[in-house]
Amino acid sequence: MEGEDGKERGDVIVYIGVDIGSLTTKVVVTDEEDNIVFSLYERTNGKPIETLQKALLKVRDTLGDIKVDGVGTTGSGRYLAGLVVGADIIKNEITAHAVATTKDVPDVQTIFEIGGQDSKIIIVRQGIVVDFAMNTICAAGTGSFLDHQAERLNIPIEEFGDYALKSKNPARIAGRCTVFAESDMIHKQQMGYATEDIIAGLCEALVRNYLNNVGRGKEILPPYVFQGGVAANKGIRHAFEKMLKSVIYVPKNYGVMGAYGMAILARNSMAESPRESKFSGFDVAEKQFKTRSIVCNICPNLCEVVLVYENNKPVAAWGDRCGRWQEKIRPRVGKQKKTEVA
Amino acid sequence: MATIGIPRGFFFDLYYPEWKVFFEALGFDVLPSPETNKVILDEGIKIGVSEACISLKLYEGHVAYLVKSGKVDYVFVPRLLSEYPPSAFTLCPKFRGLPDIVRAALLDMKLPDVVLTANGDWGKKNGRLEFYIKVGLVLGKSKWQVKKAFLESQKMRKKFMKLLLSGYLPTDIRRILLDGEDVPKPQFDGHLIGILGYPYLVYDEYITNHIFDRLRSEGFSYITADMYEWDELYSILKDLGKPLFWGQSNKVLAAAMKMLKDKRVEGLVSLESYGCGTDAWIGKIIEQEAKGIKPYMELILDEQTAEAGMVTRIEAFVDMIMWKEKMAKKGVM
Repeated sequence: MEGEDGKERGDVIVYIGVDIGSLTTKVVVTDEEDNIVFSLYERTNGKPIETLQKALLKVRDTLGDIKVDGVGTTGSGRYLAGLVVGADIIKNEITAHAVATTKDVPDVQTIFEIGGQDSKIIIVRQGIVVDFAMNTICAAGTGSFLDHQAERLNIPIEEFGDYALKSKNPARIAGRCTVFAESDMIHKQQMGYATEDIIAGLCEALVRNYLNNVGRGKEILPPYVFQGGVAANKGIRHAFEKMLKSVIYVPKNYGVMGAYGMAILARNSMAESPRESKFSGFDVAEKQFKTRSIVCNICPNLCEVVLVYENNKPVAAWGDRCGRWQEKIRPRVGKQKKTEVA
Repeated sequence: MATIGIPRGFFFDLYYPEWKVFFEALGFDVLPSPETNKVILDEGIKIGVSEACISLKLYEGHVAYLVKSGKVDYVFVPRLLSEYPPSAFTLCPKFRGLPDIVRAALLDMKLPDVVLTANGDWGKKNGRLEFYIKVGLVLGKSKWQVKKAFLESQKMRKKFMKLLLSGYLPTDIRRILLDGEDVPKPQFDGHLIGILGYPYLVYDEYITNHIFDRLRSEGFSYITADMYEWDELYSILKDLGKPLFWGQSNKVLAAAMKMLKDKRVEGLVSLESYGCGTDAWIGKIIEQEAKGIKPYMELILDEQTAEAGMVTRIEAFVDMIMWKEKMAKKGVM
């Protein structure tokens, strides 16, 4: 099979970036110039491996014969994903997002990233990360806060933004905690506030909460870039603009920036130290992956250990503090402790 | 012979070797509680007051574990009032009330009172010796016997401090001095991260999710507040004009200032105990001091700290430092 430029399609070299978050799975395929040739954004539905396998099939079906020269994974499921696809590079979300954004908006100074269950702020100066923070303790300033309230108001989350933009007088709603937000919201409803004012109020509450908690003590300077799943919400974007009195740039691929960053990092990594990619091939979609979690009761730590099986053969384990299970699968040198204890 | 149990919390990491030598010289057996595990943590949370910091709950968990094991006749719970001579800085109130807090926590469990304690004003001249004498007298030993044991313990302390100041972690020093093992010498070449925080939090591998191992596997080395000479830190505090009230906080703050000036240190990570009152202050002060000088990150730890969140933050922090270096090499900056 020949492509338009006369090259064999199998010669089209691509890089795959995967971002498995708490709620969604993102896959991006780039060419050798870091252009996105394929992207996918899907709910994980608690089945990260299956979702990823299906996504890989979609890549093959859409792009045909391609040569995958590098794979990178990120997100909270990055190790699991890395194992399934055969990642050449595994990175945390902060680095992945920053790499993608600085590619898109080279002079960016502040990145707001709000996802399903976590949110981050990344401070960039002259193209490199100099500071960052992630939300702690609760998910108040994240997508699930909005999801929750949208459900309560019986308004599809997709329409949330349009509603918010209609508001002339946003209601003041406590955004620190979903529990207080709820009582505040109900109270405002009883008082007769218009739905759009309440929704706009919620958007402002989220942004206020985000800037005060995640952005606390950070030097927040323009140009601002807003990305992550929540960037789809026009109401939140508007609230940011209102509060920071500045334009907020939302990248075209705002939902898949982490995956895009990993594709770029994979290409960089392969260019820096040329080697054969560890990519498992698209056949991996047909393989049987199973995960099992057990409570290890060998010691009083009672770790919850996750074991991953490929075609019934254990290939990975994590969650064990002592490394005993990991060692069983992939032996490493451990340290011995001699001292007698009570 | 009677056995003295030493809980693996608060003072353990810095003082266990000298305490072990002291008690053994007086003819007692010494048994530490095991490294923090889930059972100890759960026990501490159950019996501790909910408002207390995680470190106090852990300490109570360790005491309860020792008493319940039935293997010890005493549990050594000193009441330290001050530390760091000649500053005589006051220690956190939880140290001043420690034996009482521990007794109150064990009260409901109907365990025998086995608390062995004495007041220690270590910040004052001869405070350390006076403390040891009190402990020895409680155990029915003569002043002469106690003084001899004290001298032995201080020999151990000297060896301990020498290794600590050359960058060994307390856990490695125990392996060297008490178990006679070989531990590779710490290296300060390459990338160095300053780890701030109180020793009882910083060196508890369970609660920090093995932060030192993680840094090492990323190719980083580390230095803690305890690895600087106290005299050096004390002189920094004197230059501050007005030091803080609490002793340990002063030490951490001074170490932070030292690390900001120390050319080898490329970034600072502060480990803080959720619910610690003084950390709320020094965390902010360090943040302001570090701004624009060196990367700084606060990690607040509690009983629910998930491994994933911690790992992501450490990885991102390490990446940030590496990225900067890479760009500098490329001549971008």
